[in-house]
Amino acid sequence: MTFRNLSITLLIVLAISIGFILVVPVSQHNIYIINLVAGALIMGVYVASWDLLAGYTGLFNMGQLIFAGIPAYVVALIETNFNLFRPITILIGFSSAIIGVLLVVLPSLRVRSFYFALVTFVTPLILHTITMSFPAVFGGEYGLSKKRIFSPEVIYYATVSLFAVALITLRVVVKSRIGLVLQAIREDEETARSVGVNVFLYKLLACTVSGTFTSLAGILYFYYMGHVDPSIFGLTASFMVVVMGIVGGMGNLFGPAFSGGILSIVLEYLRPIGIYRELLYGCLFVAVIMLMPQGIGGAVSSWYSRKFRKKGSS
Amino acid sequence: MVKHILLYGLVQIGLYSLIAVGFTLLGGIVKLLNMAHGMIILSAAYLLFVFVGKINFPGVVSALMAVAFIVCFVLIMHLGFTNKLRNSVMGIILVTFGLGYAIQQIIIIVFGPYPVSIPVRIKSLNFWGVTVNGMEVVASAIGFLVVIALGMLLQRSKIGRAIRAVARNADMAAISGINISQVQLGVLAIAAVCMSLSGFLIVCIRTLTPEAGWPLLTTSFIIAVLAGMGSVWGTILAAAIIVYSELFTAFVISSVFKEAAAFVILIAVLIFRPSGLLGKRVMEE
Repeated sequence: MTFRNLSITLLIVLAISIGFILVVPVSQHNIYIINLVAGALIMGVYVASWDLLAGYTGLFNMGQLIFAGIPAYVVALIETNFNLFRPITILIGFSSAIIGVLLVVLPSLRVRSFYFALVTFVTPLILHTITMSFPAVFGGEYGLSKKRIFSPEVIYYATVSLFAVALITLRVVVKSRIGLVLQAIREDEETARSVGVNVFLYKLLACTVSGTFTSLAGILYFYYMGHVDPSIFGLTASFMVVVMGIVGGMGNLFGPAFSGGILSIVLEYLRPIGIYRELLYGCLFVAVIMLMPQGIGGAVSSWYSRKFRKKGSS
Repeated sequence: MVKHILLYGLVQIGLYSLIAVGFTLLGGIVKLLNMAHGMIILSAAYLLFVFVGKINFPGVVSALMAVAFIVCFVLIMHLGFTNKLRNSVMGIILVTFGLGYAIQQIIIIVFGPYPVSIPVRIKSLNFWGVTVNGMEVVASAIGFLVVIALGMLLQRSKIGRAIRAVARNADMAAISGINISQVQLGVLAIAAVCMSLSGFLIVCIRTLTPEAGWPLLTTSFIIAVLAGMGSVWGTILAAAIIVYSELFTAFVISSVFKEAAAFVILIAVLIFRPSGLLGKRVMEE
C-alpha cells in the first residue's frame, strides 16, 4: 500500500471521527442521541470486521456475533461476581473471545467455505440454548445486568476511537500484501494453494483480526448497555450483521461500516412499525442479493466510476 | 436407562431421517443448500394447523392442500431465486436464509408468537416397561417407510438412476440424454413432499413456535453432513447416530447439551471425514 493511499484513508477516518466526537457538544449531551450513535458505531465495527471475512476472504460468517457475545458474557460474569482490576477483566474477556474464535473456526477452516457458513450458523444457536438454560449463571432470558460504570460520554468516546482504529487497521490489512493474499484465496483457493500460500494460516489470521475488533466492540457493548442477554446469540442479531454487510456491499469495508451504522439507526426509528420491521429486513436482504449482488455500496461505486469514465473519454 | 435410550431413540430415528432427507436430496442432487428448510417444514405444519384446526377441513384434504402449497412454494423458490444463482453456492445459502427469515416473520405476523399443535389421541404403548407416545411410534414408522421407499426408488428404478446420474455429474448426465431440469424439478417436488410430511408429523407430536424452524434446519444439516449430501441410506444411519448421541447426552449429562453433542459430532465429521459417512465426495467435484 502506498503511503499516499494510507494517509488519505487516515484523513478520511480522522475527519469522520472528529465529526462523531462533535455529536456530543452539538446534541448538548443528549443521552438518547449519544447512545443511538454509539450503538450505530458498534454495529459499524461488527459489520466492517465481518466484511474482512466475507468480502475479502470469502468466509461467510453467519454468526459474527459469537465473537462479540462470548467476551460480553465473560466480562459481564466477572463484573457481576468478582471485583477484579478492570483492565484484567477486559483482557480476560478478550482472550476468551480469541479462544472462542479458535474453537469455532479451526475445524471449519479445513473444509470448503460453505461449511464455514453453516458451522458459524449453528454455533450461536447452541450458545443461545446454553445461556438460556442456566439462569443461575447466565441470568436466563434477562441476561446479566450491571449498573453503568462509565458515563455515556466516556463510552461514546471509546466507541468512536474503536471505530476509527478498527477501520484504519482493517484498511491497512486489506491494502497490504496480506489483503492481496486473502483476496486471492477468495477468488480461487486451489490456485492460491498451488502458488505456495498457506491458505489455512491466512484464513486463521483473517478470523483472528476480525474476531479481535468484534470482541472489543462486544466488550464495549456490555459497558454501553450495562447489560447482555441471550439475544446477542439470537438469529436476528447475527442476521442483521449479514444483512447490513450485504446491503453495504461486500469487499470495500466502508460500505458495510456505514450501512451498519445507518441501518441500525433506521432500525431504531422503525420501531413503531413493530413486527413488520423484521419482514422488511428479510425482503430487503433477498432483493439486494437478487438485484444488486454488489450491494448498494458496490452499485453506487460502479455507477460513479462509469460516469467518471464517460467524462474522461469524451 | 439403557432400555429407555434404546426405545426412545428407535421411535425418533424415522422422523429425524424424514426431516433431514429433504435437505440432503436438495443439497446433493439439485445443489441447493436450502437454509429455508426448517421454515418450509414449519410452514407446512402451520398450514395443516390452519386447515384442520381453524377451517375444519377433513384431515386428508387439508394435508393434500398443504402439500400442494409447499410443492408450489419450493418450485417457485427454485425457479425464481436459487436457479438464477446456481453458480454461487454462497448466493444460494444467503438467499434461502433470507427467504427462511421472511417466512418466519410472516408466521409471526399471522399467528403471533404463540405455540400451536394438533393433538392426536393415540393410546400410548408399553414395551418392556417403557411407555412410548403412540403418535411418535406412528410418526417414526411413516418416516421409516417414506425414507426407505425413497432409497429404493433411487437405487432400483430407472428414474432413480437418472437422479443419481445428475447428482454425480450433471454435465455427463445431460450428454447421455437425461433432461436435467426435469429431474431437478422432480427431486424438488419429492423433497417438498417429504418436508411437508415431516411438518405434519411434528405438529402432531410437539407444540411448535415460529422459532422452531431453525433447530429443524440445524438438525437436518448436521444429519446431512454426517450422512454425506444426497445419500438416503446414510441419512438413516446418521439420524440414528445423532438421535442416540442426543439421547445419551440428555440422560447422562443434561438435556441442555443435547444440541451441543450433535454439534461436536458435526465438527468431528468435518475434521476427519468431510464427505460424510456414506458420502461419495459428490459435493467435492
